[in-house]
Amino acid sequence: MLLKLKDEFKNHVVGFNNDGRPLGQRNDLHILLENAILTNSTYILGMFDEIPTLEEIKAIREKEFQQKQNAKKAGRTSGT
Amino acid sequence: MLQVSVIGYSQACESNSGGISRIWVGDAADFDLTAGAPNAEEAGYSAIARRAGATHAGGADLFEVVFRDESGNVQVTQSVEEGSAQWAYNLQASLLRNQQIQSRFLIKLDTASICGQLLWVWEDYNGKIFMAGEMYVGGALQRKFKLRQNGSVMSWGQTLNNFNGTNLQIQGNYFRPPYEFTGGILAIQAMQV
Repeated sequence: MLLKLKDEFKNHVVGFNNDGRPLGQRNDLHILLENAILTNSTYILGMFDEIPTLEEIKAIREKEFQQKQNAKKAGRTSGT
Repeated sequence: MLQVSVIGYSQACESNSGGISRIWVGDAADFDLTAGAPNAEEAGYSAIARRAGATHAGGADLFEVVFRDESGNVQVTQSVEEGSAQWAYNLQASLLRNQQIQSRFLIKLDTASICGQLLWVWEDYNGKIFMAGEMYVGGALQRKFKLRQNGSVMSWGQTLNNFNGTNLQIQGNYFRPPYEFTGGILAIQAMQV
C-alpha cells in the first residue's frame, strides 16, 4: 500500500529516525506512521489521507528488509 | 507483580560520559512530540514536529544556547513529602560575555516563563537527547511543565581572568523525570534556527 501524505504536508518537516527532511522526500514514513498509530498521535495521523493497518506497515518493513538483503547479496556477488 | 509492576535496570556494554554537549530552548506551544511505541514512559519521544500555524519563518524554532565548555549541567532531584513525589529540575550553564544580546535573551526567558512555557532540550556526551517543558504529545495537551529562569547571576569579575558573563539557572518541578528523545540529532537540527 502506498502511504498517502496530504498535499499540504509534503513540505512539512517532522524530525524522526535521525532525519529532518520534508515528509515528501522521506522513504521511511511507515516508521513515523507505525508509532503514530500505536500511540494515537492525532497530529501525525491527520497528515495522511489514509491510515494503513499495522499489518500493511509490517508488510512494508518486510519488503524493505528484503530489498536491503538483496542489495547486500548483489554486492557480495559482484565482489567475487 | 501482585501489587506493583516492578522492573530492573541494567545498561548495555557501552562507555559512559558525563557533561552536557548542547542545550536548546524553544516555545513549547510550537512543537508536537510523538511518543515512541507503546507509550512515552516506555519509549520516550520518537518524533518532533512544528504544530499547525507554527513556522520557521515565524520564529518557531529551537534556539541553541551556546555556553562555556564544560559548564552545562542538568540535575533532576526526586523527593517525597506527605506522600507526594516531586522531581525538581535545575539546568545550569555559563554564558560568556555580558552584552546587550545576552540581556535580551535573559529578559525573553523571564517574559516567556510568565506568558508561556519553554521547551528545553539537551544533548549529553553519550549522545542521548532529553526534553523538559513539553506541552503537546500526540496532539494532546500535557500537564503544565514550566521551567523558569530562577537565580541566574550576571557578573563582571574583578580581574582580567575572572568570569565575565551569566551563570544561567533554570528551575522547575514536575511529577516525573525527563523523557529521552530518540528521534536523533538530525531531527533536532531540523527544528533549529
